[in-house]
Amino acid sequence: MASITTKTYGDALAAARSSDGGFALAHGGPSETEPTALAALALDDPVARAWLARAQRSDGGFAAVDGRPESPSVAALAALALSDQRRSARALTHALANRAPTVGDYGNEDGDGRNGWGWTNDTYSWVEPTARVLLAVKALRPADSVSRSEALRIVRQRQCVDGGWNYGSTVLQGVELSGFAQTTAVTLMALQGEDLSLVDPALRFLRSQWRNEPGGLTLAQTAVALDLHDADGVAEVRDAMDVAYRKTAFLGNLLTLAWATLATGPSQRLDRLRSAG
Amino acid sequence: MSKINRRQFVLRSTAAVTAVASAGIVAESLLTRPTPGFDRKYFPRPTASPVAVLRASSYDRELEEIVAEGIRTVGAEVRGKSVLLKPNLVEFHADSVINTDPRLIAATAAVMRRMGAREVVVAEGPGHRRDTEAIVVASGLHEALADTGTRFVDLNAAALGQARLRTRYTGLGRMWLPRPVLDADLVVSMPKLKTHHGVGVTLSLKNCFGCVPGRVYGWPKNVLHWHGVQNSILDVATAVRPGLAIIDGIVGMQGDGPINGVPANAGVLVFSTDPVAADVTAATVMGIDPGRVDYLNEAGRFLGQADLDQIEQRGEDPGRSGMRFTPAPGFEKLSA
Repeated sequence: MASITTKTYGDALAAARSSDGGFALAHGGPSETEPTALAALALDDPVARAWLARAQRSDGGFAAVDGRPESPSVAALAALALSDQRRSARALTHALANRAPTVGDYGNEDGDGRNGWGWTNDTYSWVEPTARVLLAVKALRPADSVSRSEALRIVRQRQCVDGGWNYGSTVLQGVELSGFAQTTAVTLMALQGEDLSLVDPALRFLRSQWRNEPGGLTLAQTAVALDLHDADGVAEVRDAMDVAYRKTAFLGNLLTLAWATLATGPSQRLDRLRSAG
Repeated sequence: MSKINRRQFVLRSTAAVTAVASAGIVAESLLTRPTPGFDRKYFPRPTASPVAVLRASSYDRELEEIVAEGIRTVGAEVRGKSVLLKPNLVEFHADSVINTDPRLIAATAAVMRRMGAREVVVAEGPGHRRDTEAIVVASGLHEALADTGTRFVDLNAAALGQARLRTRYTGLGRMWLPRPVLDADLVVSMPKLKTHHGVGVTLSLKNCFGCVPGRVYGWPKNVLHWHGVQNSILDVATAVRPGLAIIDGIVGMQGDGPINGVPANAGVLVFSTDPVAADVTAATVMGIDPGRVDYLNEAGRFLGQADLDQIEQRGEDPGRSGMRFTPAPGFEKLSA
């Protein structure tokens, strides 16, 4: 099958830009921080970056659609997308400062208040948001070993026996949970250069699982994760992503389209996500 | 059947830890609610409600006819309305029966159109997965809807509007909901008949959780769990206000639901224009005493009819189902 080119994904994404220069999650919605940040990275787009700069609050964070401060996991992505170093640093600082008040009752809360990061500022920490903050810390502030250790501890504690990551914990009422490809792909992005005992089982799991989660977001993030680890299988995942796009047009989800653009674009577009151990 | 004394009604609080689907379950602490969670001026006392429990032996035979009969039997008005079908697609495992069956969803969409609905969409905001498309495709729903020309809306990505809450169970005051939910003339809650390890049963009221957008409330709807699952069920269901419930009990789930349970073939579909009456009836079909399910008791005070004596059964007698679903761990006392 002829691969859908990044120009197709990129053209479709660019054509979906809102009149204010940002990007919505779905066609017709208001511009939001997460899809705009991803579009800025995927298209290397100054207009999207300008939208992010305008949307940044004085405290460095971003307003979510409900008017509350945006999730630290979104602020972390915005930090990666912003080219203005001062703005980027403020976004990351804001993300780091908004750690979750609790990890929930896993028995792995250390009581030091360093509980990782959540989807919202005021509830639990989760694997994917924590991984996104870790990704940003390693790429933008590699000397911050304290935040890095905190995130790595959470990620390590929640690695499932199959090597992947569920969105939450590893065990539920005595039942071992299995990992999800999408969560594992995002987590792996943050684990570049880390301990192979953590990374290798995750890569094996991701290679075995992605076919079972045939959505564009999962496939695009899997392709990016494998690419960042210089792992085999990127082309096959991209082909599957093309199949998904032909079938569903990613359900009109512009965040997915942005990840697909990033996954198939010039390799230097991934440079903002690259980090060492 | 047991009935909870109104004054003793307790809601599970979030003050401590809460039940979070796959995130590590803990028993919720119980707090006595000092003030009512609703105002009677907004919610008149529920009156008698019709319910129809109809036999349906499989997903392959005469589904459209059964669905049409159920809708007619409970007197649901469909003609000229924009209809939003809200199935349960919390996450997908190929070897399990977690979700509302795509064949039932597609059949219902076809029936709604045949009955004169102006527009029919299927919409869900999966609670556990960010990649909605992966669930929709892997579950077979995408294919089933394509066959009927029905559009799917991802409620985790749709544009949002704000609804003022007329109940106070979570204390959130207002709730962000997807515009397709707010704008629909008729929201049809289509859950799977399942036991639930956090609240006992998950049916048409709990199914409304999927209307709450993940990008505001997190995955798996963290804010709702933080404020207590039962509190949230009451607030969310009141805000969504489903006008019709169609519960998929052809194959339900028993034991450690809503994800890790095992199939239970109940062979029925449950219909009602009153979601509380539908859930109370469905619990009875499962062999679970609805009077012991806290949130159903509370919902029966204002949101719909929970008194089986006031529910007009127009189909099978739910008490004669002969089913005894294995309760979720920790909820053994719910067995009738």
